[in-house]
Amino acid sequence: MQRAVVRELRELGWLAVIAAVAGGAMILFSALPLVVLLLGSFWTDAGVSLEPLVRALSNPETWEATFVTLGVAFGTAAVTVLLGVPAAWLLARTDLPGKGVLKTALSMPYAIPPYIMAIGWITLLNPRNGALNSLMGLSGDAAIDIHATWGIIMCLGLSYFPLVMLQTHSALMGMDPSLEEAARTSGASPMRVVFTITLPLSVPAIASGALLTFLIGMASFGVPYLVGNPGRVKVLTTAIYAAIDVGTDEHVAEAVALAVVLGVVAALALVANRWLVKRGRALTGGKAGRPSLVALGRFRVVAAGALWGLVGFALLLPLSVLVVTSFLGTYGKGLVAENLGLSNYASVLGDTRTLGAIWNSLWLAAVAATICVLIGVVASYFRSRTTIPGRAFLPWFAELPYAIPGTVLAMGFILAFSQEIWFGLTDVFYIRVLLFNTAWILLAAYCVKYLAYGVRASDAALTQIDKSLEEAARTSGASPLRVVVGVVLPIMRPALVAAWVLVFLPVLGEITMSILLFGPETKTLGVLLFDFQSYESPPKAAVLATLLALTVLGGNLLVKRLSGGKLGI
Amino acid sequence: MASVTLENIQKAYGDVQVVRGVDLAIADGEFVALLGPSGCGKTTTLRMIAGLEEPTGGKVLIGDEIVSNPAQNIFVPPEKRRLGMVFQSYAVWPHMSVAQNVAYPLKLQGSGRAERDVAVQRALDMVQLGHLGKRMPHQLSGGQQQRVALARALAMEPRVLLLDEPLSNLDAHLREELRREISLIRARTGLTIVYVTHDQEEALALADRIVILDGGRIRQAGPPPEVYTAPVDAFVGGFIGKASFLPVDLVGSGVKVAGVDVAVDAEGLPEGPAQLMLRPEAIVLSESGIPAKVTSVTYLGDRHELWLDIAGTAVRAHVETPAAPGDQVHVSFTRVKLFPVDSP
Repeated sequence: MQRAVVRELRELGWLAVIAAVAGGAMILFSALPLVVLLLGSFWTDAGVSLEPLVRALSNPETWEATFVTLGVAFGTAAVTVLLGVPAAWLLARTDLPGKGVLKTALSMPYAIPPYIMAIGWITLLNPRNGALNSLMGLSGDAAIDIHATWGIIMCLGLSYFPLVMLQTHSALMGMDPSLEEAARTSGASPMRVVFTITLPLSVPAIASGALLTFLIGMASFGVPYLVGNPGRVKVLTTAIYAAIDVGTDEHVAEAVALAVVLGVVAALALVANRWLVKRGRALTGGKAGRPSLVALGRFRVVAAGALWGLVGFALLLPLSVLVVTSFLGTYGKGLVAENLGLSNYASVLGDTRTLGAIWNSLWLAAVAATICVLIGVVASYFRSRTTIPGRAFLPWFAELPYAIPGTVLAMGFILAFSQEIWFGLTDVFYIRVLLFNTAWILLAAYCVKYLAYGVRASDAALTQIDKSLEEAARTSGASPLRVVVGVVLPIMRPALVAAWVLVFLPVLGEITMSILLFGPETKTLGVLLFDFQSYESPPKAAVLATLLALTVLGGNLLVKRLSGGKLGI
Repeated sequence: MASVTLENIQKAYGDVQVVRGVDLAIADGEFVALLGPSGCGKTTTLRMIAGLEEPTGGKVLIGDEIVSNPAQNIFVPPEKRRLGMVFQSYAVWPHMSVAQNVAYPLKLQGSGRAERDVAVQRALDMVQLGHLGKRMPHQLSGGQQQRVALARALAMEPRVLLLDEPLSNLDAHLREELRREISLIRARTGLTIVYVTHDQEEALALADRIVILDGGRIRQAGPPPEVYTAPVDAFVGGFIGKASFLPVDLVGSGVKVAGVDVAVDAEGLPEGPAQLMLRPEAIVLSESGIPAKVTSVTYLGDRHELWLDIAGTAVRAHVETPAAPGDQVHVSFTRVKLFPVDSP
């Protein structure tokens, strides 16, 4: 057994070395912070003690933040299901006009960072000078005030319903049409088929989507921070940030305890999700065919109108407000010709601070995407193509951090890397590394968080490659490394390019971890955007938000083309 | 139970004509098999009877009721037709138990609980699954799932039973078992049955009448012995059974194969090139006759399959006495049929 492993490792040669380095880095940066965080919650300078945890848990503010967090999570899940499931059914099972364009348009809100949409909504619905409030003539106490829990839920729901929609849609498209036809010939009307056959069979897909948006709602930071601001609605993530911001030992201990609470709930949701996904596969399956479509008749126009209305509400309205704001000369002076201009763009793009942040985010995103794709290839190659023991665990080190809320992960990074780490063999030969406040800690956090994209894309691409292609190269005399470089990677290239973009885009505007990990010299685009929005000038924030939104939409359309419609929006 | 009448029904998807005017009268209690290669329109025809597809032209009647006629803007949806249907992929609902699957149509018909339980049990007994009502579908084999689907269709006491390639997903052994069962159920219930298949053996074994479709049209309809022995054209002849075709020249009213006269019925055929259909069992080895060369021999258990080279054409023959590849033999034909060359 052991001899066989040694032989296989020797045969893999350089590939094994690369894998060992990649695996080591993965474990160091994804497992270590979480372990340190967990230990840190009861391991203090004074020894093992549950005191910090108990103190945090006995604080009524912790409970309030936990309840609000769960409320936001449930609310987000509910809104995403209420919007996503009917939309998916209309797109998959009816004779709705323009379904292709509608599906793409309805998916777009998901691609844009949700805090960007939230900034749009705040501009529309803040009680002081919200555009919709003024339009409806509401002011003072009568004005609609988005700075509340419902506002957070609305913003998250409108940003993430596409996730439930897409998941339900693909379950509906994968369902054997004769399941529904058998119900029709058994005497069920089309509506009855929906409620007794179609929906019950889609429950695993819907539930897994809902669980995902629940998790996202729970982990979200940007939207609750901006919408719940200032300090009106506190959720766990923003409470952690506030505690870290204060920075005393006591507050840090509280933040650690809160992060552990958040992490544990998230881990439970992840396990439930895996179970649901498995069940869903068992239920659908079978041959997929062309389902018969329900004729909507006179509701056809109504339904199409409703969905286009949703596109307007979830995408066009908040986005267009941002674009308009980015051209406003003086914020609050209103939409008149002389108040419009490019002055914000000039001041944003002429500012070295802004350019520095854009540069930071660009290179960090590019390098993180490259690393994620490379490690992803190695990890999934080892899992599917070798028999090295433990290979199945590697992808777990990618999936776990992806599911862990970014705030929790960043807390782990702070605890694990705020001191010098000491690598060495003896007292003489060693190196000391301090990651804190450098760009490297951001890079490591981004890589760990988004590695799952690289692994998933590689897994998907590798299963498409028949093993005999590689075996043919081996029998032709190529070493394993040569086979990977010369045969496997070129075939996987389109999928890997798509995965690269899919990591690059979210990192470009990342806020949840960046806001906890950035240093004086390493401000990122997202952090700067939040600074502009919170303290400086909403029009300047709007400029960055507009540019970011356009980049992300363009990038996703590129991915969609690259992947033949399988990835991206 | 009811008759089914199709009057010139047509179906087009955009510019693609799938069914091009099918006329068919299925009598009350008749078992009709729709047979043809894939894409011939047989499944579409069945689905138009079921109401799962709306014809683009023609009339569909069940009993005396017109259920579909685009000219009068009549279309009765499938749930109002009371037809039992069995699908190739079983279509047993995975979120319901076996008994719940079978009870579903009864519930929709509004039958009471007690009455329903009795009907479900009766239907499950009929397909030998009386003891498995509480099971979930994923605990059943493919053959058992198809029995559930059959029970579900029977429980609703349908006017007509429609089966769409019900045995195609099963392995050979189960297929034969379930085939026998279908014919028993048919004998017991006297149901009108329309059965779609691409498997000629199934059609020959089960049906009162076989309807052979090709290119969206009926080529021939008749009892199994008739379509087997008296195919109307070379397509039908080639599709049913394993026929070989020899190119010949029709001169006067006779043809010669390798210089030997062969008696044919050439009525209505023009002189000139024609093709001679030979069934494998209609070829016998004889002392004298048409010279042939054995090219390969396969032992089939109850007989030998020979591939013969007759005047340059490969011909399949089933014989009882063995031969060896390379043997020079003589054959004669017990039954032949002559078709014009242009018939596909």
